[in-house]
Amino acid sequence: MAFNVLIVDDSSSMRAVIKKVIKVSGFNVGNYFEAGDGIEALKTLENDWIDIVLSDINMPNMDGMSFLSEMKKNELFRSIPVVIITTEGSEAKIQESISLGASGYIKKPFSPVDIKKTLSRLIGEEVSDVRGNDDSDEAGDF
Amino acid sequence: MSGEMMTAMKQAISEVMDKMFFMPVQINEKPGELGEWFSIKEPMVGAFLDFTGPQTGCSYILVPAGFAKEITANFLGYSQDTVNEKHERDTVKEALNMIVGYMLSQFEDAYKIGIPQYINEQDFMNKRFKGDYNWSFSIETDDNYIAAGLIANMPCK
Repeated sequence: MAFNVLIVDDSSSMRAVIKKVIKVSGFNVGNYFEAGDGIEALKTLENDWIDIVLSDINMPNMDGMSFLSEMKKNELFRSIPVVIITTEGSEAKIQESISLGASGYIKKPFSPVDIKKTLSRLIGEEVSDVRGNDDSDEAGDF
Repeated sequence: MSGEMMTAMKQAISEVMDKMFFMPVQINEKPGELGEWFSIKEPMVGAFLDFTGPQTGCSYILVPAGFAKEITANFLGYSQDTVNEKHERDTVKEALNMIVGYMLSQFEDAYKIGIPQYINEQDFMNKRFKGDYNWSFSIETDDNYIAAGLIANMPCK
């Protein structure tokens, strides 16, 4: 089943790189959506069917942690897996993202394998039935 | 600013340039002015980024315009013909963002990173950065140089 991906990063270059890595990894993606901050990302979630979110933390207007927090408060969005892709690789940030419900954490700079492994795990375990699985954010698969 | 932070920045530069831009680099600490490292004929593009925490400061990167196109093409997987100025600015900012993020993640202390800002050569020179300490590195690739630096106890803006 094809799945829709939302990439959230204030750097259009980084969004392009992440998109390219997903493409060359051979995943069955339906549509790619992009947002430059958390506010744009929430609007996209309201308007489009999204199966998995990859989000940066350090962004203007609404950062990744606030975005993640807003997503998990919303019944419609809380089951969508969120992978944090960020330069902020401190243990405190990782723990904070886990507590907010992130399903994965990838540090920049990353290799394509890092993204492929994380998405493979989430697609297999969560994305295929994400809309019907309210417990997906409890997986704790870090 | 601690020597550990300088060491961390060098490691971060090597890691980011190798992993995201496919360019092994040699990092040199050279004395002298930035102008001595580069040809004055070629314009530069760059970015700066504030960070706050136990150490507060400003970080920057400067890249010759032609080389910015090359590293942008490498980063995005585009041909150089299709790389535009927006791509270049965005890529230089993201390079600095990754370098500083990686550098600060090597410390247990909580740091907060700002949003990287684009800066051209003239604006950079006009800023006359004067922090408590100012370390600059020249980053040497096969046939080019990049400059990067850290300035302690002074915000970029």
